[in-house]
Amino acid sequence: MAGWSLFAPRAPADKALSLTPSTPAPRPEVRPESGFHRTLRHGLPVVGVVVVVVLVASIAYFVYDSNRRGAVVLGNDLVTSIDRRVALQMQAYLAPPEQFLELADATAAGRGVFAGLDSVEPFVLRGMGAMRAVVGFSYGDPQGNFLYVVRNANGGLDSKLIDRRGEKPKITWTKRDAEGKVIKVEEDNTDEFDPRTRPWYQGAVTTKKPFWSDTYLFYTVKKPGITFSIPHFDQDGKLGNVIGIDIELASLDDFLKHIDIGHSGQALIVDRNWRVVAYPSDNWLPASGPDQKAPMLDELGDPVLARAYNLLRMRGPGRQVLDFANERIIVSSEPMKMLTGRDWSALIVVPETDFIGFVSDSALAALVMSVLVVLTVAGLSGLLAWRNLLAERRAAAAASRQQALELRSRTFVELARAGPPSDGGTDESLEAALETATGDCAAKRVAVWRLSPDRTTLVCEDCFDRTANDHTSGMELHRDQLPDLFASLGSGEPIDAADASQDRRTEDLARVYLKQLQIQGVYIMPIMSNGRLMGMVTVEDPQRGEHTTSMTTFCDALSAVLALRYTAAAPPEPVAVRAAAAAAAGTSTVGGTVAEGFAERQSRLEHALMQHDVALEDLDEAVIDGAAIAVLKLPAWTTVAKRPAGCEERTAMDAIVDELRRTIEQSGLSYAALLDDQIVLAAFSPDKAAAIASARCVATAVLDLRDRLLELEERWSISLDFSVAIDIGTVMASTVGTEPPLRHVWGGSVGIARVLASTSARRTIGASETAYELLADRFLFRPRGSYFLPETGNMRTFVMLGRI
Amino acid sequence: MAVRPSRMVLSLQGVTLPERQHSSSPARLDLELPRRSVALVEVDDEADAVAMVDLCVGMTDPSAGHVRFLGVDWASRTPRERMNRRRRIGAVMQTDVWPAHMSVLDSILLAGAYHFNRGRDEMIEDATELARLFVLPGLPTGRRETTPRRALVRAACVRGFLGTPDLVVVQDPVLEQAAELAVPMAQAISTAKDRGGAVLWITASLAARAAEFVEPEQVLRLGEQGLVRARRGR
Repeated sequence: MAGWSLFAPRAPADKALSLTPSTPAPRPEVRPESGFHRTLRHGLPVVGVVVVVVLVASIAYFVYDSNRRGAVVLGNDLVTSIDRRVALQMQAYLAPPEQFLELADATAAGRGVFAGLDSVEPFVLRGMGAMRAVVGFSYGDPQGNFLYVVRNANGGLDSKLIDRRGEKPKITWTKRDAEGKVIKVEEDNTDEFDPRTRPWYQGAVTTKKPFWSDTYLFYTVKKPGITFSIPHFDQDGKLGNVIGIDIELASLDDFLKHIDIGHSGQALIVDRNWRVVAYPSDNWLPASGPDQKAPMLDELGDPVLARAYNLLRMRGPGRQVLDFANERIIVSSEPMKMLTGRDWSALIVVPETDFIGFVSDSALAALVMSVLVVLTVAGLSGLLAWRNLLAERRAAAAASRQQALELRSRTFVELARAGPPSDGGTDESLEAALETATGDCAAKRVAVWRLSPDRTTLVCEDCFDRTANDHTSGMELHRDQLPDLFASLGSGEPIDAADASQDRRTEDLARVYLKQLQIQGVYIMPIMSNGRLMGMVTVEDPQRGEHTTSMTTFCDALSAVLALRYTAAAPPEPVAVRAAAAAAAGTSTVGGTVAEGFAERQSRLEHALMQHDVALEDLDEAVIDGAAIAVLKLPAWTTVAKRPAGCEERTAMDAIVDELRRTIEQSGLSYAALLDDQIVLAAFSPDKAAAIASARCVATAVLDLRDRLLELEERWSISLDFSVAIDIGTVMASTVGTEPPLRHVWGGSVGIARVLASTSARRTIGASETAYELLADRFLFRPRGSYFLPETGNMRTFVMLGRI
Repeated sequence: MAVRPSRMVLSLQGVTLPERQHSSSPARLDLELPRRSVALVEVDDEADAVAMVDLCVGMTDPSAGHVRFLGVDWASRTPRERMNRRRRIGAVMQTDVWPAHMSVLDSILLAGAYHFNRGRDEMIEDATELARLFVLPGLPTGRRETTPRRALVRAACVRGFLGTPDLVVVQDPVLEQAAELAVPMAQAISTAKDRGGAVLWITASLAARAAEFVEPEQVLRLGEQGLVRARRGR
């Protein structure tokens, strides 16, 4: 340990951390902002953002709704127009074949097939060439005779004539080329076709009016189609004939296929039973055979059409909206009877999104852009609020800095103005400065150390501990214990060690001082004057970061003020220097300033004597002041009772005593006495001015004795547990009446040296405070601690290490 | 002083030491410490040692059993009465004995000044005698953080043996390793015994160097089940 000691805590326990008595400078009163205004100021940007969000959302919704409504109206109009277009197309497609058939009927004039054959067949052959939709012409009579004209693969027209006038039907095919030239006539008696069994014939006969068949597959051309037939009755109601035409619907399918209804809408033509008449596909076939009926809507394998079929059956024709698989489907079924004369309907099925999808898309795009706008506005508002906050913080920090600067200024002014207390009492200005520094640096402790006049010791003038809220002083840091620190301080550069134990400059300081206070980091600012080290300011465990700059600035200023203060104050002359100077000048130090250091000891001695009714003056003859006393405690007798190897004497003790005697004889000591296991050495002189010389004489002698004993230890390879101590003070001297008379030295410093010797560590030289003060200029000491001794009162003790 | 040999200075009967860190079962403590006797008790775990000290000086109550000091069960006394009775006990330990706001010197003298109203000079004289017995030149005047560790250990010895305690409880792991204090401890314990006191030394090892010259009447060890007799190895 130690290198330092604490002996004078002096702050009152109830003292609070406050920077006292100075009157604070008047500061302009700043009216604090009310909470409402602060909330309003911070909340306005937020409110603005919310308002913008609500407005943008409202506008987006309004535009979306309006567009949607408009799109729906447009969609309805479009569907209506498609309805009409389909109806017109139907009419344009079916009207010419109807007219053609009516003309053929007029040509037949109610006659049977063979009666009207000569006039009807040429008419049909001529007329069908221009009727591309008509693929076949049928002409039958109640006898079963039948003429059928049909388009062939060569673009010509073939005729089939069935003659049932004989017993067996006779069937004759007449083949023609595209020019109408007969290229082949052949008979086919295997054909058992009878027109009277066909639906177009029966339907016309049954209804007695023009008849439209269902859609079916034309067997000869393999295309879907319908047949339109007209019966002819005479005035008596007797059936004359039935003629009909086959109209293929592939062109109508192709037309439906090419109608654009949104992206995926489709149009169909259905009859009153919801059977499909025309379907928008090139390959669509209504049935697998001529005798089979066209499928119903729900038989097409399309789930949407199946749902539409059910919906239409329930609600009837008209315009409906069908919810299907999260999609709204517009189903429109408008009857075309007014236009076409047939009980058919145009069925349009189209997803609503095909009409209003662009509205949703544009609304979504608008919404995304609105969100971007809102985010931009929010960002700008946030930036505005953040800058507002920063400005507030800066203002608060500026106010805080201003306050701290004012506090520092007052502190420095008072520190510089007050100067150190002349009576050695409490330095309130310094205490206030350290309290300010502790708060400014957010440190655990801040201390001011002053270098002793002999420049070997840093003495703590004041240390403020923020945790304990207390001031201490008197601690000492010695150069021999902290050589690196002292060397670094001499450069005048501050030392900033976040971990003092890891910094070479503060490693020893951490070991002997900081570690025991559980302090890790330290900032040290040397106090310099004219390039000469005067002391240091230590900031222990400061808070780093934003406080660092403040700390360095404050410590710099504080050290400058303290340097001025130390320079201005009359520097106390170091004890050792004074002693050395006095010795060199040959003047007495015992009665001079050095003796002041002994005042407490002298007072306690007088007090102790008075308790026994003795005054110091009464002992004048027997008292020796300023005697330098050393006590050497010899090793325990058991360790030196035998004779070591290579030793000529009987025992090791004999050799030791003989060796010590020779050393003592050469040392110039005034007195030496051996008793039991102790040797008392003394140097004194009637001339009181020679006290320092006596002290040095004794110090030199004990160092030599120590070295002799260490040599013997090494030579004999045994452990000699000796210890030595030195004290300077008053002793008693008696004369023993021998011849020549012997002097016996006892009491006073002999007892103190004996106590120090008996309690010093083995092989060390203990020293009292008075010995240290007289010898510090020539010998190296380290502190050992402060103790209360009844003989001396509070006394620092030291260990003498050697000569400087 | 008046000596009443018939009454035990310290008596632990069926006391349970609960919540042991290194043992699954609570230990049963039975100990009778008469006047002028020394008991050396080996306790491996420092937490157990501290708990045992607290039980003996009435700082805590046992969950089972009785701890009697000078024939009086601690449990039957109020906290204030306990504090008054503890003036008869000296404790050599480092825990909670050096207040931060007082010098070591004042801490040493505090108990005597508070409980016995003795004069300061008289107490300093006795304390200095003990300090020199424990190889200190005087009484340390610094505070605990500024006083060398070795000096604090010795100062704790001074504090524990100061006055004429009926019971001295020693529990200081650092002290146990200080061989140079073996003779002073033996002398101090001998003096305490001569004055009619008893000493309970709770040590981490029966071979502690500081206890080398102590001749205990009882040598015990805190085992799994409780206090059992043990032998000191020399």
